[in-house]
Amino acid sequence: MNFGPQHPAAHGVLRLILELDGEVVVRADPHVGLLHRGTEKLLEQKNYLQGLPYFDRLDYVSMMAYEHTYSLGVENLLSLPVDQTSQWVRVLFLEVTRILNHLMAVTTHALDVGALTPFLWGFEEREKLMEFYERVSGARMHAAYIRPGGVTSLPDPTLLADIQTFVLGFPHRINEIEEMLSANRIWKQRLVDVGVVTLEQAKLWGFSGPMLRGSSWAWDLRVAQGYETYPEINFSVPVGLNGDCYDRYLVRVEEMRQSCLIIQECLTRLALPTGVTSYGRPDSLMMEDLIEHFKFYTSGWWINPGSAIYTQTEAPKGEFGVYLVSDGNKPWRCRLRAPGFIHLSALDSMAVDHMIADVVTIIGTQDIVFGEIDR
Amino acid sequence: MELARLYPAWVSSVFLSPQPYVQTFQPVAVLTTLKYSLLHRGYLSDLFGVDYPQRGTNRTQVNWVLWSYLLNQKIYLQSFTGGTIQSVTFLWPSATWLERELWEMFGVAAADHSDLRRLLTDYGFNGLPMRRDFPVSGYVEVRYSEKKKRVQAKPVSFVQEFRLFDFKSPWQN
Repeated sequence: MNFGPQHPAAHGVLRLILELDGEVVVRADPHVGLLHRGTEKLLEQKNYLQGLPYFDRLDYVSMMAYEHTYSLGVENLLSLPVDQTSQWVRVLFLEVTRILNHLMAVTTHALDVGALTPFLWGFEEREKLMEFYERVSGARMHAAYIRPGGVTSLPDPTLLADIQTFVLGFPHRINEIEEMLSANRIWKQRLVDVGVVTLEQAKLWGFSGPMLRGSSWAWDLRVAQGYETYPEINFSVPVGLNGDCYDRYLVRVEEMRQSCLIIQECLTRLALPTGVTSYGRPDSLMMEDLIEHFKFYTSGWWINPGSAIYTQTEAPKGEFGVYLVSDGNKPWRCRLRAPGFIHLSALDSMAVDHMIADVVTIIGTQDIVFGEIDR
Repeated sequence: MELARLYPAWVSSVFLSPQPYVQTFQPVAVLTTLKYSLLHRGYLSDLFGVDYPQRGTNRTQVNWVLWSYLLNQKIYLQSFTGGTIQSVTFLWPSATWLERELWEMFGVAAADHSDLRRLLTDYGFNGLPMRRDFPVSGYVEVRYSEKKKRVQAKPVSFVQEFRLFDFKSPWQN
């Protein structure tokens, strides 16, 4: 049976060929690539700065997290230091992004399973977060905000105050969603013991992020690798116990709460910004300076051809990896390791022997976004 | 590093910068090494190719990225190949799609792979798109034909060629 490519529960353009025995799934064969744009190929044509906006369009619900991984990679190749203020701003917006993503994941999952209301509430909050995106970068979604060397421009104090207000109120919104779902009989019937992934399986399938943590393995690159200012922040990594869809839901909800704590920490650390970032105007308005700035900005940075680096960070969906081989001012090869791609490849093993309705639950719990899977 | 000490015959070179643990192997030995990594609690995180047409027949560099959760370390294996690699799907099922992608993008087949089909490209797509000599615009474009009442592929035609704007300038940097 053909599930998709335009099925609302397929979270985009997934064509899933299901072989069924009655209502029980015998084999699930995802046909992906309907959103394939050749991002890796396109990145080979653009210089390092021009390539950045493609990362927004990979996972279009956690935009800055992907920009950030790429920026880290380029910075490592250039040995470019990033100032403290920019790092705190980055962490602040990375966590805003994590909330954005998890709100989408949890509430659309609920929508697929049959609960409409959390979706409406969650998207109202998402709208507020996207407004923060807009105020800091000018774009609601495809921000191109975190760039190699820092951030585009520092947020102004009124924005920080508004984020503060949001973060104070947001845990109550999570409570509302949890009241609706966590103890709900239907929600539990649909999620508990569905799509169980044992720890051993999760590791063999290369799971990461909430998918791995749902199977009781506290692996979080923010802790394990400690990039940016994460080592200075005190937060906990929630894990599930049974590795079923319900545990992964709980992990995501708890991660949103932890993100709130991290944002609070960032806001207290961000003393009112005074410095300039790397993307300001040229230092003076002399003609030669302008020319130099223009040349620098248009032809991009020069990185010795052949030098390569693999960078991985904890994106909301799991490990996102960028492998960069330089070819002067543009990449010779830019490999993108999308967490969703790895997760979706295990869909067959997860869905076998489940009812057809559970396939929807499993797709929902995998938090699939086709921008990153098809690249 | 440790691998180089244990299997000196197989390691052709070890790079330490800019990132440690990048090693180049003869293709034959990769599988054994991967098994060795499995013993060390290594998990396959990524598998991908990089194309170097200037290297002639052995043009594709295959990269295996392994995570050791216990040691909190990444292990990189690299190997140049022209045709086939040994599939690692029996060690890590996560390699299934990664090897499919490698095959369709670079034409490097994985031996003993149970299900080597195209993955990301269109049904009936021809060519190896991630090779460096494949043009960005591709060779064919698809559009709906009103006459034939179906989607059909035609050779690409552009009013203007793709331009890189990589000119010589008086301010050479």
